[in-house]
Amino acid sequence: MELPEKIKKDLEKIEDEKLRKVVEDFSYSFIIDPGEPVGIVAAQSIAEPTTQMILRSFHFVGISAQQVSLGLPRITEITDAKKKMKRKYMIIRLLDEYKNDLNVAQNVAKRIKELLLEDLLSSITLDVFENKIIIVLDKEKLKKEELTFDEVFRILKKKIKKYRVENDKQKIYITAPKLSARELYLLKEMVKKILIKGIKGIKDVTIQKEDNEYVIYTVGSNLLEVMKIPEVDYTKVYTNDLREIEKVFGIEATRAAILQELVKLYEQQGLNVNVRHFMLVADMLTWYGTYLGINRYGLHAEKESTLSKAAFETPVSIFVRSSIMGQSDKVLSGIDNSIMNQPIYLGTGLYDIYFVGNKKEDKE
Amino acid sequence: MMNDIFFKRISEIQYFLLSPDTIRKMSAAKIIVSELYDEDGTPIRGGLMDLRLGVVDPTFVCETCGKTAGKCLGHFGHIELARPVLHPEFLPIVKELINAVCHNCGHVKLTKEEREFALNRIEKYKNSKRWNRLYKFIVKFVYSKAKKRSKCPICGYENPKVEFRKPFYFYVKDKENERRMYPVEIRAIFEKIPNEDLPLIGFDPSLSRPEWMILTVLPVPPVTMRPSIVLETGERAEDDLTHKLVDIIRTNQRLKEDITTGAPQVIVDDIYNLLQYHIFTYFNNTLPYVPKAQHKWGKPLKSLVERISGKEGIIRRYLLGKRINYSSRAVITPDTKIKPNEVGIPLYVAKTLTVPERVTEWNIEKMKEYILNGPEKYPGANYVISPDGRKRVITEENKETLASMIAPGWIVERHLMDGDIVLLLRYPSLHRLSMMGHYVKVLPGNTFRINPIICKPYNADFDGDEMNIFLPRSEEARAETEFLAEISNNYITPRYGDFIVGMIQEMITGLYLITQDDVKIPINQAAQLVYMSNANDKDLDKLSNIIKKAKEEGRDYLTGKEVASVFLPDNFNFENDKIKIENGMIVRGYLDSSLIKAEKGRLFVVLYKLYGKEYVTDLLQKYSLLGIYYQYNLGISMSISDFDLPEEAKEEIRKIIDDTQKTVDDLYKQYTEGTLERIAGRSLQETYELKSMQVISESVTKIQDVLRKYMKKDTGTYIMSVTGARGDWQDAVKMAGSLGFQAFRGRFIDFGYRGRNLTIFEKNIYHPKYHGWVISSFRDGLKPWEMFFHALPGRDSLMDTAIRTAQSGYFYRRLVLSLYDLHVNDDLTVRDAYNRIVQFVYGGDGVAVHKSINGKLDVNLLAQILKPYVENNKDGTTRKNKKGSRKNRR
Repeated sequence: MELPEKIKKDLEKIEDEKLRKVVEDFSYSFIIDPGEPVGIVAAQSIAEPTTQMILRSFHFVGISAQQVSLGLPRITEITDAKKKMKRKYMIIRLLDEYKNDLNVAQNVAKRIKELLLEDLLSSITLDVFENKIIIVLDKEKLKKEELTFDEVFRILKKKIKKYRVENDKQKIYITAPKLSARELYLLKEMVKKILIKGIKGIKDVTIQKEDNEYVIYTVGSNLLEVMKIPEVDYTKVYTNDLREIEKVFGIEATRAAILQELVKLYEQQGLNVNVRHFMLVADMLTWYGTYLGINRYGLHAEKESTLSKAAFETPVSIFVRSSIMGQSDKVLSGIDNSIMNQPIYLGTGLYDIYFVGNKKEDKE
Repeated sequence: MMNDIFFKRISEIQYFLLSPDTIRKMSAAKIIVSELYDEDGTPIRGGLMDLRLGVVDPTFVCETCGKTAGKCLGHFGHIELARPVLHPEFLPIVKELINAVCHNCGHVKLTKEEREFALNRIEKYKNSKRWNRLYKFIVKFVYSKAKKRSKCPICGYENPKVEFRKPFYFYVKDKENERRMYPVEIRAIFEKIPNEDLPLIGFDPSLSRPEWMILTVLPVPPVTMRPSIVLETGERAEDDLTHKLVDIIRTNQRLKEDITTGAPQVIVDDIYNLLQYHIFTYFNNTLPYVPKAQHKWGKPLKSLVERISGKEGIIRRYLLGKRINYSSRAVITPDTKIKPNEVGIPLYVAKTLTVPERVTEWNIEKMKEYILNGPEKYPGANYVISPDGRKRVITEENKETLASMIAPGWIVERHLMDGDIVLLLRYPSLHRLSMMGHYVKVLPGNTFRINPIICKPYNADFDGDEMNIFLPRSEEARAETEFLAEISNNYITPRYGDFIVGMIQEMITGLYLITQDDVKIPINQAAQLVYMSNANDKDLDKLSNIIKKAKEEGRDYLTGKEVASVFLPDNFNFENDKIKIENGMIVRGYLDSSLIKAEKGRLFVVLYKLYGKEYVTDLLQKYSLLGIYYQYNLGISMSISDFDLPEEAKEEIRKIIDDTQKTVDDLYKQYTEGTLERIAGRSLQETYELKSMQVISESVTKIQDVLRKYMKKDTGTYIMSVTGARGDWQDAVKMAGSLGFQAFRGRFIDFGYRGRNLTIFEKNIYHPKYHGWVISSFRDGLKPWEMFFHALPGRDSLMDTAIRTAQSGYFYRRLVLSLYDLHVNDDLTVRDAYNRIVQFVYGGDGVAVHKSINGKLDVNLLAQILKPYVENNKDGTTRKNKKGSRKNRR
């Protein structure tokens, strides 16, 4: 057997030839044995320390706007590939020429912060008789955000195309004649969420100084829009929303991000787990080409074997589905063989023993 | 004898629907009578306990296979239903399908193009065996397209919409008037679906037909699956399934009669619905919107679905949960005198567990001796097995005859003896180190004895913990246990690649103290220590050399470092910032927790890689004994006076607390006035809470520094925390300084009464002092409210732990089941059960964590470690062996 490329490369750095030979020979004792059930080892290594994790951990260090999910809830979030994840954040770094400039950072921060209509409202009321929504803007708030009444009106007019939008310099009226009271109410709720300024999803922004560099931390995430901003160094934008990374950068980036998030998570808790185990989990989560969670709708549903799926959850509906599809299982996976009371194809079970002896003697 | 045993593997399982014909064909009896037994208690022919369905009663013989109870596996029967009935588990599919096919011609309502496209895709998924994708595609494409269409693209028939109503009614809306669609009708429509359309809806035409989802014949499970129990009173208690089947037969009978006698439609409908209900609850009694079928006394019946699914279901409880004989369980107690890779087993257990040993010409005398000792005298034997497979019990009467009978080829079940290998397990088995091989050491007493240095991998302590042992009985199993599972092969944890076993508690303290710079031990005492620490001949040679050297130097003592070096190999070199070992002697530094503590133990890893497992196993025990015995002599203890502080220290602490108080008061003032600057994204109150908590936690760190400066250096407490044996500085602060802030879920404690948490406080003062700040220390004693503040998060964390175990248990299960089949192949690729590649080289470099030093192969570190060996060229053994063994194997 040959040593893997990476180790060979490392070995070349040793100058003393005699020593290199010795180290090379010794390196063989570090290489993994064929048949090793690395999946189970990885799963156990990751799951065993979760019993020691702090469920609701709290840190005094680094007071900031970010509220980051930690511990077991965050791990389940990553491994479940949750679509609606809690506590998203982004780390935005600026281009080299701007990164020491606080003004630019503040400017960018102001531009990306999401501003909804409801943040500017003084009141919003329904006129059920005339099927109208009456919007009154707060002048103080407008002033603070450096907006004028006309600007807001224009944005609203642009965004609401279905209904008539008018103003009388004081109030904005949205007339929707055919709607029922309930639909009108829903329209009102929708209008409240109209984006006036900034980037959708960026709920809050803070600027922090890190090693002579101004870094913008956000609450909420919108990768694609933030990367479009010219001052932002788009090669260094980071988000903890893995689904978004998948959408924007693709599956390989997701794998890297999952790995990074998992490593960071265990480090924060002070738990020592080797990176190889995380690599295997990250590889499995992204192996099917999409980011799938470890649950009965994700990785477990993709399994080929019916019995393996049934051993996990909802066995009856899995049997039903398999039987109408006429599914056939090659009994190869560990769980199938375990159910059949057969040796499994893992570890020593992968190999047979052949007795090479004197055949004549054997027959006698 | 061995030739008779052959092994057949189940290599494939095929799933399909049972057709009515198949059910009839596999049926041993048609069930027509609802009564079970006649007056004398014999099963009625044609009843549910028919003797053709198998037997559970030992007095009868199965009429189908002629075997007796226990041997007969049981045979299916069947019930002919008077009318087709829906099956609850297929209902969701029937619901979709009835709207997706044309009621007139039976084709799936897809246009020609759609049909071609769908068939191509389905073929692709089916060949690649991606069942989940196939199912998703059918639901997403075929069903959704076909359902929306009312007009059939093939025959042009305008299909009415079929509406489903809970629990099992179908209605057709025909131009304003509504009528019920009976399963007969649905079945007739499904029968029309042509075979070439079946792949479109996921069916395999050679195996299953959609109309089989609607029952016309009900299979009756064998009696062995639903045995009846005879109670003490002599009454028979039938299984839940039998009860349900009786209901089904009775209702079926009535329905049949009503139909033949021409009863009014309303009555027939009523009985038909009842039959439908019984069949629904027979299959699944947990359906929503269906009332639960109950026993007479109100307990719900256990249906078929409940039998299969869930933690207590057949799959997880019986098919995946294997139970075995030849195991034992007992309380564990510590014993430092046995080796780490041994387990002390009580004599009673050793006499009960037996190891099969094959008689050969070389061991026949020994075996005869065991048999003559019999089952009572240790070491004896309990059974012999002759070559024809007959097992005989050895008794006092027959032991002589049996001893004279045995010849090569027999098997003797002898008692467990020293040197046999067993698997030792402690629940919960969270990682593979929870179950490892140990060599047996038979000892008096009633508990299992383990060396306390191996507590860490098992997560065991001795407050009443129990452990299990399993005895591997075949040669293959024994070999695997010895060469793979044995504990000395698993010292390095696969989690992060460091020694998981190692010194604990006073062993660390002892070793730390003995390796301090100014330790002088008189030669006779040093020799005593080394002897007590299980020294072998090699160690004694080294000891005498060291003593010789000391005498030459004119010393009548040995240094502690010299004593600790006795057990190290002569040519061992190691250096880091803590310690320097040169040619097997500690020349600088000391041993402390980073080098020898369990879960860290960097020193042991290096020794393990260089000198092998046998050496390290001995070393672990020697060092543990050395540490224990050395600190025995010193009498390390701890007392409350360890925390006595000089006046100036107290003054400093008081000053820190006063300063903190001032800062906190200031914050409070800012908060109440509203001038406090808000952290972005947080409210004013949150900012205030965070800031004051930070200030208080900073004060605790400051107090810690004061304690470090002023605490007495020679106390047990100080030594313990310095060596890392037990306790850290945070604990010391809590005892001698101040407890700090007791945050409840990261916030102030602010509930209980309106505006305050205890009635002793004034209302509406949001000051940390009234919301969780504990200024006192344990030594000074807490104020009543401070005790309350301290107890509250403590109780919360108890609750937290209870939730966490459940959550992490589920997480563990999901993770293990999804990564179950991944393994390393011969070419170092990681593959799954179907040989598909997941990683091209395991972990990027093929290094196994449990064979590495701290999880990596650091070439520079290796070069540093191995350099002395190359230069001296003295050591050839360890290296060449490793190299040889690896290369020969390939």
